[in-house]
Amino acid sequence: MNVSVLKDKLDRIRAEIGRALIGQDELIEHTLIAVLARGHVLLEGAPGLGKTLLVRTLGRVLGCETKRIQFTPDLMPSDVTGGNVFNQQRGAFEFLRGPVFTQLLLADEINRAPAKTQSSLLEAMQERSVTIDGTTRPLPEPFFVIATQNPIESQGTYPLPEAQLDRFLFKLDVRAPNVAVEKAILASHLSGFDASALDRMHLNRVTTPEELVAMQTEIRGVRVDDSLLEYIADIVWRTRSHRSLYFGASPRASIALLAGAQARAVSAGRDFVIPDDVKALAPAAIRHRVGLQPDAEIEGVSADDCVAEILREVRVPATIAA
Amino acid sequence: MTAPVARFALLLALAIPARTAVAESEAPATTPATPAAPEIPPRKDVGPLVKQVFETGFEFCTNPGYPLTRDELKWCDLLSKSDARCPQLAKACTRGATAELVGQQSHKQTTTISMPTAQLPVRMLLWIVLGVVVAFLIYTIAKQTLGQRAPDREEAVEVVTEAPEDPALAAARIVETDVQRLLERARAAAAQGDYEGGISDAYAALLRKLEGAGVVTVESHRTNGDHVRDVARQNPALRPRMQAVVGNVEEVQFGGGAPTDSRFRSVMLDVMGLLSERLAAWIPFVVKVGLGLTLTGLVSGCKVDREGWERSPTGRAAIIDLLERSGFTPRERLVSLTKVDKATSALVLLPGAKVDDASWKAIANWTGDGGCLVIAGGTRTLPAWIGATPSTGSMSQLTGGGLTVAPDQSKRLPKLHAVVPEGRFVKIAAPETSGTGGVTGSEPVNEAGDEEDAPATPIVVRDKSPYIVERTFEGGGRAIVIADDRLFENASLLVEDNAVLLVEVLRPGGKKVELAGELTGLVSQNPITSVQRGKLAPAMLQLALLILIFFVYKGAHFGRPVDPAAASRRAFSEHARALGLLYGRARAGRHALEAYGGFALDRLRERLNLSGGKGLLAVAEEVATRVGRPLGDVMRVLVESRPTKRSNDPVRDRAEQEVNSPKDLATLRDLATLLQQTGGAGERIRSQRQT
Repeated sequence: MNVSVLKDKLDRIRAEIGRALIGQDELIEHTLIAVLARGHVLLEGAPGLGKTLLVRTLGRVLGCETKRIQFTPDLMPSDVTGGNVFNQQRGAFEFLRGPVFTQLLLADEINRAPAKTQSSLLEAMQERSVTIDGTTRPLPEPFFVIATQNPIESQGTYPLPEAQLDRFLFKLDVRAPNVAVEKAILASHLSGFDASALDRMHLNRVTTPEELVAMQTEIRGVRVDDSLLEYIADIVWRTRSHRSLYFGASPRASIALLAGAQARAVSAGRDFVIPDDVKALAPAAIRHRVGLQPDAEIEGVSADDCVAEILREVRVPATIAA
Repeated sequence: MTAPVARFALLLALAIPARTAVAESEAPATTPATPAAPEIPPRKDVGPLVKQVFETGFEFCTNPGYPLTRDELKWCDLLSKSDARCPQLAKACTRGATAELVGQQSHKQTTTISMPTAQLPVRMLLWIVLGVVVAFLIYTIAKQTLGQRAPDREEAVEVVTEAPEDPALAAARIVETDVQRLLERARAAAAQGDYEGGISDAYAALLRKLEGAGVVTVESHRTNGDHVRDVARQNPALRPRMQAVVGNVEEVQFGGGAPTDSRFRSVMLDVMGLLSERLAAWIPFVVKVGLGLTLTGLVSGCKVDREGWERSPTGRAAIIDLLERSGFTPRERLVSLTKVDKATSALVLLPGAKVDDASWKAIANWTGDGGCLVIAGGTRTLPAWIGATPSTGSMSQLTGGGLTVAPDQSKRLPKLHAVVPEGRFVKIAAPETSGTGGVTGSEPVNEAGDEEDAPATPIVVRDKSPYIVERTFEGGGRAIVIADDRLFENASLLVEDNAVLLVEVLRPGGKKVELAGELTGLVSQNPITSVQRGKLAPAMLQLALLILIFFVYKGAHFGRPVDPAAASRRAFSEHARALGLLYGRARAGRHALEAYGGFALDRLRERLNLSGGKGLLAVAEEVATRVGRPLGDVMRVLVESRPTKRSNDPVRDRAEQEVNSPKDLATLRDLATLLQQTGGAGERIRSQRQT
């Protein structure tokens, strides 16, 4: 594994995305890590913070086929997966592929569709295939879903079921920019940047889908020390007994954390994982996989608070502290 | 007479006028006893002893630039120009008076500790700063104290029985935090080929150093990345070097990198480089310490004494040393003179000693018991029984005149020639019998009650004026009055036969010599008085401030470190219970029953599939059938839970509600039971849990 080559490529990807999306370095970093770890990402944040722009830019820079589904309350599962349609000329049913048959799927405002439609993505996200009328059709490689949603409190939204949430590698909070970044955005706008016309940006394609798949494969070879496996397991295990959590994270969270840590290590130019990788990604990997107790929720305790508390309790491997 | 009886007699003598006491003492049939004679030190050749004393290195003897005071300068004319015992004092004398002595002697200034003269705003600012610091200290202590909660009851009753820990494991758990020891350990490990341990220890040394400098916080949940970020935050320039160390360390710890000699050297080099950095966090520390020192200086404003007064020409260190070498056991008396007893054979009252009436009484009794009182100068008025008093002025014509032993005292003292500056002398009072009463109306009383004491006799004279006068009492006691305290100064030992004179004057008094000066009687009964008397309050305050600043800087705990108290959250049921309690206290049972009754009736109709049109009776019948209770009973509960009619008199309504509140609460419970029995959610959950 040539880590420096991978890191170089990732740096270039970051730089290209950064041209379009200003001041969201951490968001870009975590999204890239998720892509490298073959994971799906749920972006949550208020409208207008660049969620959709990030995905569109990512598709261009990674050279992946990108499709977008705008989730609405009347969206049907077949609108996502496609379905068999009777061809009168041929006198037979033909499969009409839905937008899910792509490499990078942007599920925009996923929580605006009811659970039935949301669930149509379950198999696609986990198995990377779609089964319709008894026929299973594989999805192209690479395949990853980047869904966006507005905060649950907004009107006209349907909270994602736990099973659906669990399939996202990371849930990333998109935060509003600070004043300096906002000023930079305005300056960019003045200089002619138009988020709806990315073609004019002439973004460079840094990788091909094949290269991306190869990178994903290489990531799996990153060394993980036994002590770190224990560290990850301990963190996730503690979510199951935390007093503010109704239910804890599943083993899928552990796997997500591990895969994410491997990708982060490569992103930092290392071929081995360190505790910092795990700690940095734990909130993103766990926050959407746990359920808060009602009273904790009333008192304003968030999942991030619980994860932070757990991270403070778990002993980091090889620490010199007593 | 036995000792207790004798003591009683002495006390009795103190309690009644002297004459009466004497008269009474003639009559009793008690058996007189001779007081025990004090242990007399053997006579020694004093000359070599003085030489030995000054061989211990007095600065005024070795430093030609020693600053002498005007008072000390008076010795210069009397000194030999080439005294091998104190070679440089003559040179120091040629420089004249270059210092001003403040200190213990009455003719010297008193040490004062005073606040510096400052404007009102400055003083106010100082007090405000002091107040804030004290408040902060109290707050911190209170916070730490409250933070150390008692363990929860459940935790307290939990008994953990563990097998005895393996000592090797216990030793392994001890965390080394000393930077130097960690570095030494790292080198030692590397020398033995354990490069992994060496790298780990070197890195630990770096972290401990950074922790000590307040740059990082080493805790079990903090990663190396956290430490790097901490360093970068404090000193961005150090980040690459810190990152390099961490990279090397982590590659060994997690990356499977081989811990080689070159890697160890690389880590060690970086660590040593970082250790030698002046870390940014030291700046606040220096500022804090500087502030503390500034405050110290401002608050104290102390005048500084010349160092080592005791070892100056007018000090007493050499005197005490000489007395020790001469077979005495001299010491400074700190305990009050009222407690003088037979443990002291000779008591020297120096000019600074404060003697009140009670002390004189005690001294008189002690002298009567055989004690030797030496009064070395001073301006105090002495009791008449002493028979002499030092002059308050000097006879200029006697200045420089030598002291010789009085002609009739050749048995008492050897032939000698002593010299002291100034021309003080002793006035001998007119002979009077014992018991006439002196200043205090008390006098030495020997156990035999004999009144016929000898009059005061000059034993050393300057020309014909007495310089030292002695009066002996029948009980073996004696009072020696010296014109001044010059013989008790260090420089005096270098002049003529002064040392011999001093030793010989004191020798008959016995070995246990106590020097009573300014410190006598200042022994405190408690630490606060000690601080008060020692005028140490500002110093203590400054010390406390410095300690506080140090602990704030170090972040040390005020007690045993404990985990932060977990914020406990109340369960929903507790909120409900608290609300119910409020209703109960407000006697609002009726209100609660009506509110709950409406809710319960709706739920019952819902569960029993009864529309709203059905009356209360129908509901009661269905409920009674389902739960198996008498219809009347169910009906009563339902009826009582309905809103009652209010009268026009709110006061009366209120009074009725208060009276019926317990009954209403009972009905409410009945209604809740009915609701449960008809299959409420809670009932389902409970049954599920049971299964």
